[in-house]
Amino acid sequence: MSTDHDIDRLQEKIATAREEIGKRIVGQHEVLEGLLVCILADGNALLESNPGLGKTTMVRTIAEVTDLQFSRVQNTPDLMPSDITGTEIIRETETGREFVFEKGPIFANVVLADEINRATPKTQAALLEAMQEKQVTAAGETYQLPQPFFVLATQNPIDQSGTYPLPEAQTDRFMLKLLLDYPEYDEEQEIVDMFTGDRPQVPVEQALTRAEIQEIQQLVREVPIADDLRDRAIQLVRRTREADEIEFGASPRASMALVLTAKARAFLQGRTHVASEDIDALAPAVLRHRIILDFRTEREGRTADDVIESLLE
Amino acid sequence: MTDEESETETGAEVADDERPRERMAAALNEIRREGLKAATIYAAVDATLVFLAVNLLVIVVEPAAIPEVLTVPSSVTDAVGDLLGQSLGTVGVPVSALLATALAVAVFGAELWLRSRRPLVERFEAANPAVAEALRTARDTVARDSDSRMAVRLYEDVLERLRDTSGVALLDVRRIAVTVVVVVALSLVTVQLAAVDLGGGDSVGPDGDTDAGEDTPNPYTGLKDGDSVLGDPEDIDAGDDDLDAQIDSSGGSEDVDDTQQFPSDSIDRGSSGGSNSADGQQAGYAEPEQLEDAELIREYNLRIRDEENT
Repeated sequence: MSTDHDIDRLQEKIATAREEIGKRIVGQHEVLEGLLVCILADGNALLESNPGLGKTTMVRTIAEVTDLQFSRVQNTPDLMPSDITGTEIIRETETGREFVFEKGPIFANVVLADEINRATPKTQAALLEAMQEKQVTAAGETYQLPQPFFVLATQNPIDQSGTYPLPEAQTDRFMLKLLLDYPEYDEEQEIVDMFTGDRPQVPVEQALTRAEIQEIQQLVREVPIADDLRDRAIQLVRRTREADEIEFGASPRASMALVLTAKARAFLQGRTHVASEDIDALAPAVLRHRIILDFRTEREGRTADDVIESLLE
Repeated sequence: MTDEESETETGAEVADDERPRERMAAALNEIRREGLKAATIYAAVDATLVFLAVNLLVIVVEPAAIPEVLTVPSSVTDAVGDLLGQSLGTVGVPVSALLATALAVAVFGAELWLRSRRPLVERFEAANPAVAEALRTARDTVARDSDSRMAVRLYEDVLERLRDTSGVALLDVRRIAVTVVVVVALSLVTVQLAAVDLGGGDSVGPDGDTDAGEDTPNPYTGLKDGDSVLGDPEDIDAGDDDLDAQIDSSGGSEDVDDTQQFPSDSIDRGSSGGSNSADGQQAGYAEPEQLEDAELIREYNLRIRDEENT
């Protein structure tokens, strides 16, 4: 059981990890914080941006800093589910032939599912069980995934050609949807200088172990939240089901995600309790991929973030 | 309730050997007590204001339906007198004070009840926004009986931050100050009225006390008692001057032929019956007289004056 001193030490380690990530990732502070929140809350994240904004580098860097086993799945229209989960193969042994389960790339601590919306719905569905249950079933056998386990998926904007929109059931399983935007001019200068010099790969040091991450995940669940803040989170999610601007609202899973990520953000910032600013900061990332806007709202040019912001007021 | 007091009372004085949740619960109880203290201060100030206002109103308006003084039953005064070992006699209590006290007690009780029914910890949180969110969370966490590691850390954090808070913030100092100013003003007005009453309170009235305001005409035209008509009775010796008086009767059926000899040879019409007046001596009476006697004396004097005039 962690003592008060241990909690301080873990929070210092998180701060160190953020500094290490900052050595390689320029800007994108909100996205980085969202990714760390997602890891501490033991959830999966969906990153959306145009190509070339460093999504893969970001996720790989997090894996390096946190001593997590990393694997990457590049989704394409011809990718099969077994290419992700693994498949049984016949292997010659001394006792004869036997079926052996060959684990797929999903068996890692951090799985980067790159351009997930380029995979077919069938392949996307293969990730469902892994993301929610932290296990994979193949050929009648169930295999536990390593702990901790995160799917950090990236997708290109939906309106690009050759994409398959993720089904609602799958988007609901992503705790957060994070949006990456183009960097500022000075940030882009720094990126260019960093990756075009004589050291193309900026080294980072490991700051957190798997055991420590699991310990933090447990502590995050213990972060107290006031009843009125919890109720505020629930009411916000419920309002998405009643608002005229929204055709399809968020599920109770969103309420749970909002409270849990708020706890993780509070811990990340060294606080001992959830604050209302945590709810406000995380509501868009928790809800934007869980709601479907009414066509009139879309016609007015309003986005999901605009509607969520109006619901927060 | 000073800052220092509240700082020690809101958590810091709780024994360190208790578990954090128990210390937090004790601190919350202290905060509730601070809220009750603040409610008591509000209620006391407002009750004082009501007492003074009602007392003053009754004194000034003097409602006809309310007697000025309420006599305490003799059974009560006797009982109290027996306890004190001396007779209290007849004791009267001003009704204005009684009414004001009753209303003030009612206001005090009602305000204290209403204010103590409000969530006291929530009011403390509102008065101390720096610690509000943490304190609110700690309150809910204590209610859930949570002793988790982060909950314990929260308790310690809140208890530490409570050292910098103050229960004084529960008081709206501006409102209290305004009320106190009004109370002081009402007190001064009440004292001023009482002083005026002592100095000239017997200037007017049917009882005929006429010590004050000789220059001020008495508007009372009804029947007056002897003192009012004649002034204070004096012992008057017979005067040294003899006056001859000639009285002509008129209106009677028979003329008066004989010159009548009175103790005085003449009447000085200019004299108005001062301290040496024989009229006054004749009309004098011993107090206390009945009002009917005074009426007879008045009648007698009027008749003498009528005769003098004619």
